[in-house]
Amino acid sequence: MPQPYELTISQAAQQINDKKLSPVDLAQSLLDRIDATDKDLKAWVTIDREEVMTNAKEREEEARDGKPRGLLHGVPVGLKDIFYTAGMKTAAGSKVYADFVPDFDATSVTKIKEAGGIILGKAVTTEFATSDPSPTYNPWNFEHTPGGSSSGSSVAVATKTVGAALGSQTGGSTCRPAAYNGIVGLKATYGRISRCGVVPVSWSLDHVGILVRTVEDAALMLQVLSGEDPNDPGSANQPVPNFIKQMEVHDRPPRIGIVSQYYEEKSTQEVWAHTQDIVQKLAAAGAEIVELSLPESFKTAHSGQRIVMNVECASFHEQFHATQAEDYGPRVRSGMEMGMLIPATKYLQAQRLRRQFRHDMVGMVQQVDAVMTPATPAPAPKDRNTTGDASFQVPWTTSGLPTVALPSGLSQDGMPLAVQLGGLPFEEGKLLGVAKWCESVLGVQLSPPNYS
Amino acid sequence: MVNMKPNDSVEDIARELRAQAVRLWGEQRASELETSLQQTALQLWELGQVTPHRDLEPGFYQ
Repeated sequence: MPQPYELTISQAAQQINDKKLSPVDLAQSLLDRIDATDKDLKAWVTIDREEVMTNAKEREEEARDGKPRGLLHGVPVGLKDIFYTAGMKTAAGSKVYADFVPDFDATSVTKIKEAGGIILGKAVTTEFATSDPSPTYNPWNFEHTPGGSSSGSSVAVATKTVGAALGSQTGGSTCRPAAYNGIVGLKATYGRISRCGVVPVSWSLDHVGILVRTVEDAALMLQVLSGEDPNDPGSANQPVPNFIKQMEVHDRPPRIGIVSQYYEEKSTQEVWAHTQDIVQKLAAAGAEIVELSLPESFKTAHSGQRIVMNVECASFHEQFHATQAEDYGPRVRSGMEMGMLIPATKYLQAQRLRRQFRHDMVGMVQQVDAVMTPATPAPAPKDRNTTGDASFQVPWTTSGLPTVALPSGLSQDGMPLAVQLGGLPFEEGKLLGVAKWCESVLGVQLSPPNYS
Repeated sequence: MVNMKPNDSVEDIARELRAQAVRLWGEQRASELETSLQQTALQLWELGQVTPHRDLEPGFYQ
């Protein structure tokens, strides 16, 4: 019989619904797990235990009365510390926001609560979700980076101190730390999940990210979080389908596109050989494999993303920078300062080329059910002064297309490896179906040995 | 204001960026930013190698 903290969120939600699991026992189990692990891991920054247990008791009474609120009834969820929580500090990992207490919840937080979920606490973020490393440790090996910027959320999920956590992705901040910690990451299509009440890095690039341990859990979280939001100017006017049903429909041998160009050269030999091995296993199980070519516009995708990110970051931080420049970490500060130097014409040039790139990426992905690449060029680097390499996420982030990072094995030195699947805009159900099929064919469930 | 011309080299762009950094934040800070200035110059140069179609508008929100 597994401990409550070991359950995936789908399992926990089902057991609560079946009255086989008490939300109070689940919440207490997770809080005890945090107490047992977080002194070492430093994944959590703010937890209001009293509030968590009060909410758990309320959910328990509602469950007992046969009045579940929604899909996440009684299930705790973690939040990267950039999500606004009314009355609870949202420090964004920065001295600049050290005392910021929002007076409203982010839309995604509201949706979690409306679905019956319980906010377990705030997970550590790198400063303002950029690239100055956080104090969080990688549970697979303390000498390696946990990745960023959603480092706390990823480590919390990997070490089973929570079953699901929200992150964000402006470059590679959800799918990269998911890969480095051996869990599933989902970045939905730009506009699918509201950014309202999320401290921005770059308005036109920021995505809310989902960190979980199974593809099924990713679909469940996406179902809860999706929907148009008039308070987010980037929110998409798109219907919200039944992702879980769509995932099940597409859980069958898919047509998978692979891209050697750029990715082979950029990957370590070990990562590339591993990815080839994964492709062969999927082909043997019935997947059709198609080699694709990157569009011409790919060559400015990374530069353009950086220009857009730095300029928008500079715009958001300009007033704080004027009086508190010394309070910023070195990388976030230099990034915004670069943004202050970039002419408006070049920013607009980057946005124009980005639009072309998105169009071209859609054309490439349309040829298949999903595109598969390594999730990262190498496993988590043995260097805590970096958050790793986001270059395999950036093209998907800047084009706004959805991606899933899926654990696929271990490196020779025992660090998680992962593949990344990309799909068409607003076709997350299909992408999740492909990911679920791959997950079951590969049969890889990773758990850090000292935190299993 | 940073002054860039279409045919500027990476070095030209870096020089312009650095001059503006000195104007805004002084020589010492500009020196601290040297690596970032070089990277940004390269990014701007790469973008400058492509001419978008004249009818292509910016994307902003996707």
